[in-house]
Amino acid sequence: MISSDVIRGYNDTMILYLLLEKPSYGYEVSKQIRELSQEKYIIKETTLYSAFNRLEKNGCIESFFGDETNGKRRTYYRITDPGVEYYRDKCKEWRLIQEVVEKFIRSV
Amino acid sequence: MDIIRTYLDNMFMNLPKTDEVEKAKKALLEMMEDKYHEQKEAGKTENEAVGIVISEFGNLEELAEELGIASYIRPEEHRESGNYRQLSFEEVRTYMEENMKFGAKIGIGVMLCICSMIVWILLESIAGNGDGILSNSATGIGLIVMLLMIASAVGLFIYNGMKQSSFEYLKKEPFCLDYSTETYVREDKKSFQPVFTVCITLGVILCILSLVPIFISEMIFAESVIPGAVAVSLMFFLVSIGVFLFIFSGVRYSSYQVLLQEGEYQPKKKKYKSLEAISSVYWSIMVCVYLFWSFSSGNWGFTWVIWPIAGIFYGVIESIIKAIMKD
Repeated sequence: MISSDVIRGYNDTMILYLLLEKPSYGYEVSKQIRELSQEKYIIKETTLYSAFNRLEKNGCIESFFGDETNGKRRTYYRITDPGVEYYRDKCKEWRLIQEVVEKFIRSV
Repeated sequence: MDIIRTYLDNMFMNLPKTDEVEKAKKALLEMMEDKYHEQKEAGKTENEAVGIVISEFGNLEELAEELGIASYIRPEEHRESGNYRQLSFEEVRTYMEENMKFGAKIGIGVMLCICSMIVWILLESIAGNGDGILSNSATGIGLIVMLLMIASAVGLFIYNGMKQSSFEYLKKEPFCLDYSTETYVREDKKSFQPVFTVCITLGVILCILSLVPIFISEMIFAESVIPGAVAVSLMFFLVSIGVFLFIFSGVRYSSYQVLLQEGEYQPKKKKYKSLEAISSVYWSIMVCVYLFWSFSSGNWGFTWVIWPIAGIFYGVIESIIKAIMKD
């Protein structure tokens, strides 16, 4: 189980990855993160919401109301063009980190 | 689902009601609801689903900066040592539910004990005195029914006592709750408080009124036996309902105290184990004295007075022992 402190920098990346595929809503994103990570990372509701909030404030995603379910309209999110740019940057960052940190990893 | 809503309400209770905060609360509730429904569809029980949703919720500190409420988030209190076992929300919920059922069953058991004599008293009075077959069989049937009821009550006590023993550690060992669980328990206790007061009040009223049938039968029917027996039976019945209310509400109230570690269950008080031993010996002796006195004098209508006296006397003993142990 990955702790949320360690993965903090990449929550945004994970969310944007999923939104690149299609617009989605809160719980669906949380579920897909869990499934894609094969249960190794279960994102907390508060963490997820903070990320959505931040990304929306930075203009990387935008929210809209979707279809009615059980008489309530769900809040959906979709990625924006600046969001795609940000995602590319984060991917580059990750490759760089991987490269650098790898140099300090060995078996003991 | 209500539990989840209450949990969220409690978390957000002390926060400023800005638009951002309200929006966050709505979004979080939506996610929790979706997760809850999916867990239920996957076959989880109510308790499991609620437990999973709440344990995977996270904490407000993450939201603090985002929502500009950093100053409102209370930092987690630091305990003296890190050795305290932390209880999960699910464990707490399970304990509270089991406790309610336990309180009800013990209450019924005690009711059975108190009412067990009613059949015997009624049959005796109808059959009258004498050695006829009718009289003897009335005594026999009455006693059999009484023993049956007492036996079932004892069975209830033992069976449920054992089931509840898995929660004994809550009373004996130190533990701690996280902030949100503790808030939830406090809120629940607050909403139970008026119910508790009503139960106790009703119970006391019933006990007092239980004497009324006796007075009525004295006035109207003077010395005749059957109405007198009916009156005594009614008295037992009313008292038993009153006692049920005491037990049920008392057990539930003490479960809150156990969880919040107040009153008798404060961590430092968990050392008074010898007091428990003394108390169980004392009450066992009192039960023996009561039964012996009642059976030999046959004066059940009077011997019950031993209980309030024993109770008061026990309070005295308890205070003395606590004063001694303080050194």
